[in-house]
Amino acid sequence: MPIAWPPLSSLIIIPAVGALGCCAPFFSKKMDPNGKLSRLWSIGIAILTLVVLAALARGATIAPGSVLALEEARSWIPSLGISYHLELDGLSFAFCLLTAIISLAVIAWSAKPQSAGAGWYSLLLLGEALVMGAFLATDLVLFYVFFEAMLLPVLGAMALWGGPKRLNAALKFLVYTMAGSALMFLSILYLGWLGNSSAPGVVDAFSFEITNLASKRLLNNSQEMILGIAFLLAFAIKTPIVPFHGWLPDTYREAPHGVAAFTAALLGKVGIYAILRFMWPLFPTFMVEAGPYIAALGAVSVVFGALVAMAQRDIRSLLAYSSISHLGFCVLGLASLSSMAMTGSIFLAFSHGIITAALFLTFGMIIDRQGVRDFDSLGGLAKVVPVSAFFLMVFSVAAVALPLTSSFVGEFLILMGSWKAFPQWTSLALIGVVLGAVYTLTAYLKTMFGGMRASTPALGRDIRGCDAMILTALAAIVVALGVFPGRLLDTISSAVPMQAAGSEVADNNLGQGFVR
Amino acid sequence: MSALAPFAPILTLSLGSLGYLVSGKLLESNKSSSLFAMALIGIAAYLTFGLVPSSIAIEHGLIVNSFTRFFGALACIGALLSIVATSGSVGGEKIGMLREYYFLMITSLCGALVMIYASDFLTLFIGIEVASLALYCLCGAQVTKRASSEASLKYFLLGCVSSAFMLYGIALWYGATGTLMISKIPSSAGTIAIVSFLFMIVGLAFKLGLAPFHFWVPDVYQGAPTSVTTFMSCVIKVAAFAALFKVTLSAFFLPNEWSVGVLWVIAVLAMTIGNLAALQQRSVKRLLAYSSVAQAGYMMIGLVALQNDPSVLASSVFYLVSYCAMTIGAFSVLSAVGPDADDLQDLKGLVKRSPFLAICMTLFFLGLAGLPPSLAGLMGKVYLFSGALASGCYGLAIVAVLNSALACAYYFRVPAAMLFQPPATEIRVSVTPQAVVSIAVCAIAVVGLGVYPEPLLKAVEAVAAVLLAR
Repeated sequence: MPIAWPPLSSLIIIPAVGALGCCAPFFSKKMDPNGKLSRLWSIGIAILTLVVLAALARGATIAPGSVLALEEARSWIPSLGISYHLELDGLSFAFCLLTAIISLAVIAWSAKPQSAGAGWYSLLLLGEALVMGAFLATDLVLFYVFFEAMLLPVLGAMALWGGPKRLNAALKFLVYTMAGSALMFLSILYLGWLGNSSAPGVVDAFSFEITNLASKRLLNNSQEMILGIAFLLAFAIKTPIVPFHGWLPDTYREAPHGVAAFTAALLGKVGIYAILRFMWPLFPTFMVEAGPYIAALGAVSVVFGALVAMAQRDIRSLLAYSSISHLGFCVLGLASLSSMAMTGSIFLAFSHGIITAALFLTFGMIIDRQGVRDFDSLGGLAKVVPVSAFFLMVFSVAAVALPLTSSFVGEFLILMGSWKAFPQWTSLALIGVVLGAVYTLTAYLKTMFGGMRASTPALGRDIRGCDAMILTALAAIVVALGVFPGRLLDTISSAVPMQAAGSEVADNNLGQGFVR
Repeated sequence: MSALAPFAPILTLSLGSLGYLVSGKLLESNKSSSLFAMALIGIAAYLTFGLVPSSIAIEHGLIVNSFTRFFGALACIGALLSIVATSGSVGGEKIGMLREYYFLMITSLCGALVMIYASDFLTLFIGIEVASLALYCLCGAQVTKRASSEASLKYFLLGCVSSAFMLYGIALWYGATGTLMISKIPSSAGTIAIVSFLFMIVGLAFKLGLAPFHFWVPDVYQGAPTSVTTFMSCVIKVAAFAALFKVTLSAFFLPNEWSVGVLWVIAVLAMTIGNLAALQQRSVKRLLAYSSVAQAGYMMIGLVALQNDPSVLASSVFYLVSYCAMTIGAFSVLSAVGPDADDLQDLKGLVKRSPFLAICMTLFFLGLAGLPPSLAGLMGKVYLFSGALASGCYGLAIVAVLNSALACAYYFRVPAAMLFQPPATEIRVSVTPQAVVSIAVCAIAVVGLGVYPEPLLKAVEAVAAVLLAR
């Protein structure tokens, strides 16, 4: 069926147009003092994006046995070999779906910074558009543009509505990310040039197309190592992996809750996505050889993040470090030579995005209403805000990967898959599982049960209405994916072996019906 | 008559500028004198486009080819944009002598065009001197302000030294070759040619504000009236780069091993020193001055990495064009905010006082930092750095890319102050319509040259091909 309308671009264009629309005069402070109109408009845009994504995926896979693969390519700057090339396969789809869901949740969430109006929604929609772009782009330069650009709305929202030290935190975030991506930028250019080296001097042959570059097998081993390290550094900072997490605590402490949720759930995932999307096809030898080290970094992140999280008094710092810990699992899975673990990584990344966004939003609301943010001054909240307490319980047990929740499926697949390759690091990560249960449940018990603290205000509105709907939907996704993971797993795993094809990752034992 | 054709833009400017001297009361007001200047430059720009490449002109000391036409047009458009942008705010800068102000500006542009079109060293030197002398006076145009006079004196003294270097380099060249033509060096020239090259590079590096010859840049950029800084940051840079390309490529036959080393050191020093010094600044003008040192360092990459591949040189020219749009825009915004706007404090909360200025300024700074959505800067860097990599200059490329990451730290501060901090006063900034037009043109260029760079890419490649034609 020919589609005249650019199908994949619409995933970027719709939120971007929505963001522009927020600047329209009838969303101004005068006409729309509470931001209600702009909120409705943005929710509409976010829902539309989600629907379009679902329709695209459904349309592409309607024939039985067909694999999701949509493509949109047009030339952009032929002189420099840069093309506007988007692709939606199972891997991109998982992350685009996550982006659409999380954006909708954060936008629809009723609590927003006090002074924020249409600008808040505008920046969030812009963020959604750019993150979508990063997940869809297959041209390296185009990816780099989105990778850098998606930082800006987040930084903007953080610097406008963040905590007291927001500007310093924003600057730190920017400098870390730029420093990380600088060498990746150079590596991208080098790859593009190498792809052209057969015809020196002919600039028109430049190409930054990932499939094109990967199929040419341009690099020898030492080149792969240098460029691979440059790429890895960028994604390690973005994810973040210990010891490249310096920006993270400040960012999550100072950002408004919605932005923290958005960052934790989406921005970090770009790193995970890019390791699989770009690093495996481009540097297969490097990924196999450096696998043990990357896995070690992942396992160390799991344990380090958990240990530091245990020592936190501030709820949001705890969530920040627990993110490091959970994403460490994903990195471990991506480094192991098994498509099962890789699929698990993507699945866990998806699940972590949902859970962490829900936790940030719910705890954020409690923090705002109670006016305090450390455990010592909170307690016995289960009596004050029973609905929040219920949802927090669901997401906390999901975070510690209890069976029947989505994280369990992901972690299980990762641990199974990586055990064969790296038993030592897998066992280290297993310690992290235990530690994770300890700090998550301790935090939950401290805040929700126990005696009511003197400083805990007795009055507090509980979650209701729209917010309750959002949390219900997110919880339903977490549980549904925990019970019936097959559909999403199949979609993801349809794309994974292709990514790692160059490295002969052979144990394709995640066949049909493995999970069912 | 046809022999005079190449002179047309220069003659228009130099004869037209006499109008200021004979017009009496007619051109006394700011409005009429700025309009006259705009008209002159507009005609010159039009004539620049209309020039036909010719070889006759070589005998008259000028040469017209697509390289000189491109740079001439760039200088004219840059001058036009900067005059249009600042004509409304010149009044506030307490410049006592408006007629002379525009006269000097046109003279300076005229000198810049002579630099660009020159085909022998003597004409080149005359061009440099005409452009510089007018600028020395312009820097001191704010007679009541001490910093302005200081800038003028400093620029004059250091400029004289650099002219001396240049002149001595030319003398040595004459001694070595027996001709003043800018054309290929005879192979017999030997050591004297090396010394001559070094002297000329020092002289031009002064004019370009490349480290380690950049000491005048921050003081002059800060002390001079903002309108003059706007003009200078683009026009002089374009002319001096044209001269540098001409000297190094047409005369000294780059690349050769001894010259590349010198240029490499200059490029690395300029990038690193410029960025490190800019980190410390609180004055936006000084910050932009040091950033211009660093940006000039990036543009040197095209010369250092040159390997007979026109695309590498073309990338420098492309970057120069996008840099001009950003720097004119940034200084124009500063000039529109107020005649004395300089400290970061003055820009605080600008988005509340004038959203248009704040958003455009943010675009310019993002462009300087090489971040989207100001894609001109980013695409310039893609082009520049891939050229460096293609020539095997890995060290240079790594230094450059680390520098551009470092630069984000200070480029971030200006938008952060404008967008995220409360304003010191609530008074709205009133922007003149001509400034709006000029700033908008720069902003569109900064975004548009990145979104749709194909025509410019083709043009700069043709320019580079002319330079490298042997």
